[in-house]
Amino acid sequence: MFQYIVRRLIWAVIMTLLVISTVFVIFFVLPGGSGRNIEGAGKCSSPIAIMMAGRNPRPALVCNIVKRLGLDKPVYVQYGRYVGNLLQGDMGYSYHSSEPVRDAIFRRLPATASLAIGASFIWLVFGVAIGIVSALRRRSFMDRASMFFALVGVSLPTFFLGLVLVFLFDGRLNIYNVASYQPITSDPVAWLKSMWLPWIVLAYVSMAVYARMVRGNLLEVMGEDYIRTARAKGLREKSVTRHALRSALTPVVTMYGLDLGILLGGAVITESIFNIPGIGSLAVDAISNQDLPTILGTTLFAGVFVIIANLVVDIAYASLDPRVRYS
Amino acid sequence: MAQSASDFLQGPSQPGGGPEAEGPGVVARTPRQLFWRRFKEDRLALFGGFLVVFMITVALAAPVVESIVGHPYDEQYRDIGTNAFGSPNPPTGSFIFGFDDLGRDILVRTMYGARVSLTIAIVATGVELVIGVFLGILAGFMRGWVDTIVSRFIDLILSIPFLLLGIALSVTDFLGGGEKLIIFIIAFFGWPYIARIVRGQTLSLREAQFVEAAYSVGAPTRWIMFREILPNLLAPILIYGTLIIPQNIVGEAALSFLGVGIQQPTAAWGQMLAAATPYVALGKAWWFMLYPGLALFITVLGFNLLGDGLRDALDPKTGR
Repeated sequence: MFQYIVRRLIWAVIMTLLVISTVFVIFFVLPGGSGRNIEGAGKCSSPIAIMMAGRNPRPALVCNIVKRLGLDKPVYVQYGRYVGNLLQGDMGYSYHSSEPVRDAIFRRLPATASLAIGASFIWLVFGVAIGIVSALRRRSFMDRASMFFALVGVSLPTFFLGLVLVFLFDGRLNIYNVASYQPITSDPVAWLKSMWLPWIVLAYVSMAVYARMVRGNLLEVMGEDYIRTARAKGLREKSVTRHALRSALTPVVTMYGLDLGILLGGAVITESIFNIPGIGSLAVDAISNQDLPTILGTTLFAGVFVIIANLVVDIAYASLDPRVRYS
Repeated sequence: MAQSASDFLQGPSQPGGGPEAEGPGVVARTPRQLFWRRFKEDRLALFGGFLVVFMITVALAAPVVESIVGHPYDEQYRDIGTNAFGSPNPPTGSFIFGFDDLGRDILVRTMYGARVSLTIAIVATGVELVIGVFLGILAGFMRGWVDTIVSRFIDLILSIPFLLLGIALSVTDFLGGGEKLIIFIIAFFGWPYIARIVRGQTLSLREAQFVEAAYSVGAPTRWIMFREILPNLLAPILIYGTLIIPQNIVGEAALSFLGVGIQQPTAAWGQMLAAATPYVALGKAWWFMLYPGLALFITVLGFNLLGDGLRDALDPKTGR
């Protein structure tokens, strides 16, 4: 087990480096990437430096900026410097606000975490409950109604559902206000008032996916031989169900871990519809400002969350199922 | 392929297949007939098929309707389409879906949006299938270091945030932006799911007796992978191919909602929804967001129903 964990940890570190490199390449190697100098237009002509220098800048100013940011150095030097700083916990400074990227991300994390944890709690509880009830009362009215509800859920894109609900609750009924996000620490009631609708919007699609998955898994398990054996030896139906649930719900653990990891990196669309100042909206703003350190920082942060979630899920799985450790 | 099919007996074999036993009162049915019997009983799947055909017709008919109503998709009717404050005007007799913020006909634009959406989703799905099936069979059949490389590459891609990378790429001139960029982004992040499924199925198929039989008659590896294993993967490929189209439609809409790829005046549903957003919180211009959103919903629902039906009919074990 220890060996397995070490192996996974080493792999997680390699993955993190690969994610950094991939994102870095996009900005430095691809034509038009903002870190690159315009070819044949002199040494100090990086689009980003020109943008930062403001309107009609003196060439000397642009050159100064290029030097300060190290944009005149070869790509591998810039890359090495970035990774080196990262190891010391320094993600660089925003080109746009000059704030340290790390501070910007951690300032935005509570909003994203509120959204992700609240929504995932809702979809986990309701998704699993609906799935179990549907499978146990197969073909009942309850089953058909919830599967219809789930089918609509998997077919309804978050942003359309979000817009419809904002139109109804904010635009017409005035019982919700977009862009009213308050941190939980400053005013828990206002926080709850600002979060309930984004939670529902974000939770609905996943709830539908989980309900369908749990129902399908449970139906499949209930057809297994060991369930028939359990019934044949006269076990009460309640205990039979408990046996079946154990194996039907294991995949939910994996899926939940990965989904939560993805969401903690920023729910780009939900954050932008509801004007929630989270990591997703930080990233979108950074991209429109061509703010390279912030783009790299947020993408890296999101990637690391996915990698950590993968690691945790793998280790949890290996401790549940010894076969995994040796494969 | 240098060999003819007869070199390896009768071509692709079915696991556990062979001629069906014909007892008294038992009718022999091919797998295709069995599939069709189950599929045509599934009313939801048929409804899904109907929705898909309907949306394809809508996409094809866009230019026809455009010329019948006489409102080009990029013509701005600002004098009748927007009010004194520049907000879009509601549906009227000849603009039955209303106007957008620039005074354009939403009916025509929604129909043109179907073309963009379906083209991108289907092309991206095709690319994903080719890459995913090839690498999935390769990894599952070869195992060892080939499998390790493919599987780790899949892990890497799935660790990169899809939407962020999409928006980031749109700031560069990569692939010149537009539809090609969207197809690239969707396919790049989509093939790993197919490859994982195909790899898993190949891992178990490679132990099947018909593979052993092919070995014993001296079939080369390439033949076994693509003439023996691949035909047996057609059912899962068809099922997941159909179920991935709606995900790609949502992916395309999400990207164009965030301003990636399709640029004005070309119409895309996500981009129309984004343009409608400022009016939504004010409770205005419901038609502006409703029609592109409904078109998106109907298309995705249709493919989902169809895909579910194909799965149930081709793989009755996962019955409902």
